[in-house]
Amino acid sequence: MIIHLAASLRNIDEDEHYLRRIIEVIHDHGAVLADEWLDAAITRLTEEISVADWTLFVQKTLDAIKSADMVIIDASNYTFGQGYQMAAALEYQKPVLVVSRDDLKYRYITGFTSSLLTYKTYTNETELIKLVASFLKKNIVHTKDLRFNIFLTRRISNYLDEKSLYSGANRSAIVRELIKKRSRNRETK
Amino acid sequence: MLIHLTSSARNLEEDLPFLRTIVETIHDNDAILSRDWLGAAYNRVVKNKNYSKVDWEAIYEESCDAILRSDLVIIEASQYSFQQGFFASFALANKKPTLLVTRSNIKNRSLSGIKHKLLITREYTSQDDLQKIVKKFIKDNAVSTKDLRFNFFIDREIYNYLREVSYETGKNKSEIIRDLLEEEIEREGS
Repeated sequence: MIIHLAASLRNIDEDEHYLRRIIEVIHDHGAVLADEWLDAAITRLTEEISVADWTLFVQKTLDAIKSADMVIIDASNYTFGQGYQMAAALEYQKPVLVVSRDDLKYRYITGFTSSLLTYKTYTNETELIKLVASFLKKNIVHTKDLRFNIFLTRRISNYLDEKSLYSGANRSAIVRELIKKRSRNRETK
Repeated sequence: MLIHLTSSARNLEEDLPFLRTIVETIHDNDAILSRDWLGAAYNRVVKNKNYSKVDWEAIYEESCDAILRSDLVIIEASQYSFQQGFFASFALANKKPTLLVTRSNIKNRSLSGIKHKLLITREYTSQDDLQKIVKKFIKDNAVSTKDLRFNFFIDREIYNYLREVSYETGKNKSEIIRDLLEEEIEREGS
């Protein structure tokens, strides 16, 4: 399971403690980060250097979102970059958890309607750990193959029988291939 | 032409003269706003100082709908806030030419790294400056609502096909190509 963690690079020293707790919970659940950017950000802050190439940085971030199964955003600073990443994550159909130490009650985010989005406020690290753990448990999909049951109409069943007879492939393989083909077509569009 | 303007309601008083400049420039260039939210936000935030009684869900739905209906999107991002980032990404994902203007220095911000063929990012310092930037963006993206002339080369195979279909259906070649494109659009849309 791959998780992308996002936060603001501004005030990263304030957020670091909480971000490290989030990372610990992620690892405790057997998941890994899509991009381990935190240490580099802290080094940049300590040595007072900025990101060398922002275009590359944004591209790397978007790639990390794409490769992730879920996205967690600490939006305590509520900045442009966090909103941008949230929109990208939802665009890629990723479950998103937004956590914030700042009250989100009167914020625009409370209006965002997506079944993939969860936003929560936390006041301390115990609360944060619980929120992240609950989100991970709810959205975890094991990497093993999943059993999937489906009812078939008589027409579909007959079609699959016939197709199976002619192709030599079993019905499951035919359905899997069809779904993969559609998925690849969608990607290439 | 429909244009959606988005900004942050926080610090609206500070942004207001600039937002009004954008709206005026939009109207001066024969375009209209797809969602005229500025007056309501001014009453709520500046006059009544009321942040609590806001139906954010309705505003979000209306904003998304406005972006989808718009030809262009302009984002005033001086506050560099969460929703401005969200709507920038949303507008680009929906293939809207987007102008992002800001009074803040974006040099060391992640925004400076967002590269997209439909995104133009500009810093401004005055209302005059802003007016010029917005005017140029509208002009550069103006698409006449009249039909557009389109020229392209076709090879002999395509020509023969069009001639045959034209003969069979009684339609002219242009109509056949237009119908074909319409079908493709329908197919992809359904």
